[in-house]
Amino acid sequence: MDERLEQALAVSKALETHQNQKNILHKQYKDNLIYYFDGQKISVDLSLIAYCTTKTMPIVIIDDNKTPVLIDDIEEFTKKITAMYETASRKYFMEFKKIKSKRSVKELIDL
Amino acid sequence: MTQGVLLFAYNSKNMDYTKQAIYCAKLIKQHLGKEVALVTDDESYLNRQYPFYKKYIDHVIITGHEDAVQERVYNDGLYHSDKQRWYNTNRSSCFELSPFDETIVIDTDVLIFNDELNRCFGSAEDFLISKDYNFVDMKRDYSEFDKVSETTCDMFWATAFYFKKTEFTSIFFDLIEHIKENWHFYRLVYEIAPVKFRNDYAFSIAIHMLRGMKDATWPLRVPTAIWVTVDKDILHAIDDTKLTLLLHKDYDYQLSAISDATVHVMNKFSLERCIDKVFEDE
Repeated sequence: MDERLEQALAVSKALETHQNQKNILHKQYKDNLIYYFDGQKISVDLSLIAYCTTKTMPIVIIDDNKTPVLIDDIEEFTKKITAMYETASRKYFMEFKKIKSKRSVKELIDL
Repeated sequence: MTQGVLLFAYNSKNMDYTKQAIYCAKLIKQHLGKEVALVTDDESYLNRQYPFYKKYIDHVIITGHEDAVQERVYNDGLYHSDKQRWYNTNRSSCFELSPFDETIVIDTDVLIFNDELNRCFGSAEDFLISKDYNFVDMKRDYSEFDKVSETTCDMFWATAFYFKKTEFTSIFFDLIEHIKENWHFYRLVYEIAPVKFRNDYAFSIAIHMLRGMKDATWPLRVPTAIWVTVDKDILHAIDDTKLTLLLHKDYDYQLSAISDATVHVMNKFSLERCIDKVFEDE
């Protein structure tokens, strides 16, 4: 095989592996942003955190399963989802950083 | 309320489900910290081959498998396959067999590397089941597995589910038993091409019937992401909580790794090779 083509194919393989690892990390990040409590499933994002931050009285939110949930202690709830968001984002950042600079398949998988 | 995980393991000629179950139980102890019950038909094999099993398995329930012969082709990557018998038609008996009030039932080839399944316990729901899988090869399209058949109902996976012993779940598992007994009728009604009985199909049909043949939010999903690698992929190594895999492409493999996840490894040959390495230290 032409050496230039061979090199290009090796790079393409590394990029494909790189992309798949990035996709796995992103999916795991999205899963880590789901807050489960008392059988409820709530996807946390910045708009939910911002909304909760402005509230002082109990609120009702609709969870991912279309179930209404009464949040009695809004302060505690906001604290928990904010911490969860920060932990998940930080973990995603750290994991992403690990693979970002790696160029070979071997380095990517850390064999 | 007692809580635990129930596993089924009936060995076939070249497939040691008992070995898989013991490894699965080891991971359950490590990450979920729950009791494990094993349903199997050969206690003497367990004692002889894996004398250390009591470290990981708390209850052994001896019961024979049904005689119905099921055969399927198992791949070991792209270049090897083997036709094997399998016995896994009595999953609907889990209601009677489970020694726990709250039970998670999982396949023995599901590897657990986090504690997320513990969220099932104490749930307000009587029954939770897995539906949406994530392929470790994220380019693979899940949509073809979304339905039992093109024109019928949603597909659910009996690979991982949770139940409480209640009147409702008793009705549910009785219905699965009825579907099993009348399998050829139901498979025609639901336009299922394969003749073989499969738990996934029976569970999906029962769910469809119980929710009035309509879409509904019931049943809720098991509260964890379940990742899957197909049997043409190869599990290369298990290192602490990291799995290294070779994902199959048309005529080649792509290296991949996943950590801290719950992963359904469908290449049982490569899984057993990796377990053998882990069990060298037992």
